[in-house]
Amino acid sequence: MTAPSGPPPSRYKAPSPEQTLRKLYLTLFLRGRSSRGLTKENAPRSVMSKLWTSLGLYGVFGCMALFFQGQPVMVLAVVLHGMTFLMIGMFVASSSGEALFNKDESEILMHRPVTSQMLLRAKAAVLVEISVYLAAAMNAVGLWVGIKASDGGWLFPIAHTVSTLEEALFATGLVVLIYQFCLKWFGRERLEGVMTSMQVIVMVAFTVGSQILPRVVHFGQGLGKTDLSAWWIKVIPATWFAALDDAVAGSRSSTSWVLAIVGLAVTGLVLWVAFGMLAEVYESGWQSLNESTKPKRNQKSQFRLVHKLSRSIPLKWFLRDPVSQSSFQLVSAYLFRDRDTKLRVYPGISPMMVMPLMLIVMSHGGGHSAETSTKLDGFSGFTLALAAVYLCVLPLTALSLLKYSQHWRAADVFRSAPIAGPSPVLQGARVAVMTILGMPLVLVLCAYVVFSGQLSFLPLVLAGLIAMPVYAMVPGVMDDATPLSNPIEESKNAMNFPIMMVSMFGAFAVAGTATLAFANGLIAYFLALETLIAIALCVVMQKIIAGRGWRAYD
Amino acid sequence: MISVKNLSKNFGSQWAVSDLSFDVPAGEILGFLGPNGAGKTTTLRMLTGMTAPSGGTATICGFDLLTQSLEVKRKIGFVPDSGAVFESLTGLEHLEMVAALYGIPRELAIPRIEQFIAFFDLSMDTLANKMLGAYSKGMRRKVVITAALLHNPPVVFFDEPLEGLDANAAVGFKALIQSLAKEGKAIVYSSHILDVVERVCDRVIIIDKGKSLLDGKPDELVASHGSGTLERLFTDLTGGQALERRAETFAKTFLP
Repeated sequence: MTAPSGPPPSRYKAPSPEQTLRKLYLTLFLRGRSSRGLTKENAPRSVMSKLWTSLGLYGVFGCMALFFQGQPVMVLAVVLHGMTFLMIGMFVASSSGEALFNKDESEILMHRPVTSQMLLRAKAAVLVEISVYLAAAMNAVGLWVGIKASDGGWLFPIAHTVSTLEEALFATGLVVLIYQFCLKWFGRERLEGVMTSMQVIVMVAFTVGSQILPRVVHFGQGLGKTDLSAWWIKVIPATWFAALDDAVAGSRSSTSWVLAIVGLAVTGLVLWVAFGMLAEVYESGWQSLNESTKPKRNQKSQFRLVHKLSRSIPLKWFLRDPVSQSSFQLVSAYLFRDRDTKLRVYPGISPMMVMPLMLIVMSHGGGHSAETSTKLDGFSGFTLALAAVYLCVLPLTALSLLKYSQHWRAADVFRSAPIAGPSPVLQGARVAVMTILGMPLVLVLCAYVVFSGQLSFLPLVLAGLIAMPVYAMVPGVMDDATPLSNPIEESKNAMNFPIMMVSMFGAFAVAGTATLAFANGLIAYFLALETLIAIALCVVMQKIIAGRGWRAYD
Repeated sequence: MISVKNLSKNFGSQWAVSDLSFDVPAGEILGFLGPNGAGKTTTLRMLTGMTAPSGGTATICGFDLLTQSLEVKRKIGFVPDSGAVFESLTGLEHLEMVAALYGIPRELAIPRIEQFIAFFDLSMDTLANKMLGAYSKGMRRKVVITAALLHNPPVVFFDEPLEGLDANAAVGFKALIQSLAKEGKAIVYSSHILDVVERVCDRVIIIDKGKSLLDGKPDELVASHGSGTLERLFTDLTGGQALERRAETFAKTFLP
């Protein structure tokens, strides 16, 4: 065969590389990056359906704007942009790691005639596009409310659409910029760890932000009392975008114009630095991620410690099955070493790590005044119990996220081994997650109680600790997938949300009952009863898990 | 067509490739041989712009690898050993995407793709409707090879291209490489399958630990070292005989 050659005739026009890449990344985002033996007609719809579900949920969440009817444009806009910024920020931060740095993708595209700027811009364009869809869903009701605002009018939808687009560009540019600086300032050996840490920090920042927002608008103290004159509100990006709405379609005050111009200038600067000045850094970073590196020394020592731990009492007893032992070590290795896993798991559990801390800090600030709180020296018993039980949701979330991996095919090693079903594999994963992620945080909470001189409150932490194994078994009951055995795209499943919600209600119920028992001097009885129920639930769930064989592939 | 001068790459204190120099003229098939970890893939990755060299230079079709990387990339085709593809695209979508990146409009890309489909005995229906994740390893490899040759590049790099191909496809592929070389393409063929290299390549370079050990025509190298076969020469140079000796005792000691 002879390869055809010759220049293309002028009557045909090829799409530009930028258009081609944008189309590619949008398709990959909507379909996911891997498939298991599917035809085009049956292409993975999970991401698409998740997107629709998310749009619906965001739309419902956006109905909160109805509470701001008749308020000034600035108040409404701050709330809308605050919510939008948090949601977009979390979306971009959680999606960007996989989207920006994908090893397989570099094998396909790095030797093609495309520049790093083209790749980066195409990826960012898709992130912005999806962000805009999410923002549109969240702000749909707000647009109508803005028209009816006390100083609003028909210009509001136009101004708000422009400012929301600006916000999506800013959020995407900011996340890309953070990555670019990481790539520029840190060596290849530290790059992966630093990038993972940065993503966790960004997610945590957005989580903390979501706690600040309700305080800014003072929901509990009357909607009209929102104080927007404080200096620190003016440095929050959401205020700059809200100011554009107010400048064009609201009070049109000079302060709003100044803040709107600041917003435009900062957005322009962020985009210029991220996609212009530092765009070349992206290529070198991408190249570096594909170069193999030796595991860092501290990673080795961490892993050695975990290895020793798995062979010591009491873990040795829980891992007495060699398959569980192997599974424990596999999951531990991925939690410490695998960039893809770290980028998914740590940002995913960061809200669970931060929220207990936030709850305690808020209780110190007098945030809880409900009858359920048992206050002693400014210390809320309910808050502590809730923080402890909240930590139990962490293994559940981590185990749900650990089902997915870029190396999902490698998990076939369990299926091909002479094991009747996934039960011992799931056992190893559960113990690994509780040991590596859950227990250290429970210990931190205990240390906090001890150092704050409230030793009598320790039983409330115990209530959480007892519930932890029960929560850890839920992913195994809901789904028989072994750790790291599913393509990443399947993780974008809307079913995770209801499970999380039910788990959270469970956490509230346990914390509330524990607090009531504590207040009435019945905590010892409560703990004994909780232990019995936990054991019974664990036995039942273990029976369900143990009775399962390997599921057939599609 | 390809000129490599003192190309080097280090990862920390370890040199994966050290002072590698060679030229490949138009119409030549260069076999690139070496044991695992010798630096073959790293060299190919550097020459295709996927990894930045630590030192040295290279030109491809007169374009400098470092300063004119986009022009270099337009002139090359590369079949990586990983055989990576976007699994959630169909074969046709993948090939159309690749063609568009080289500025080939769909109207022209389709006839070219059809030629490859006919050559590899693929089905257009499968290519158009089945996601790449569902393809067999061999089919996927055929798509990757098509994607590397679709824009008719004057220089082609193959890294273990026969992996996954059945015997018939492999025979056809070897013939294809030779006919491409006859048309004036410079081809670098990296492989572990020594008898294929011996039959297909005009010249071989054997590298180990990042350094070039031998460079010449296969039959001349074999004759000058009195090794009998290229495989024997390769194992003599790269320490494979020790493994052979260990294999004898391994089977005896493996089972308690």
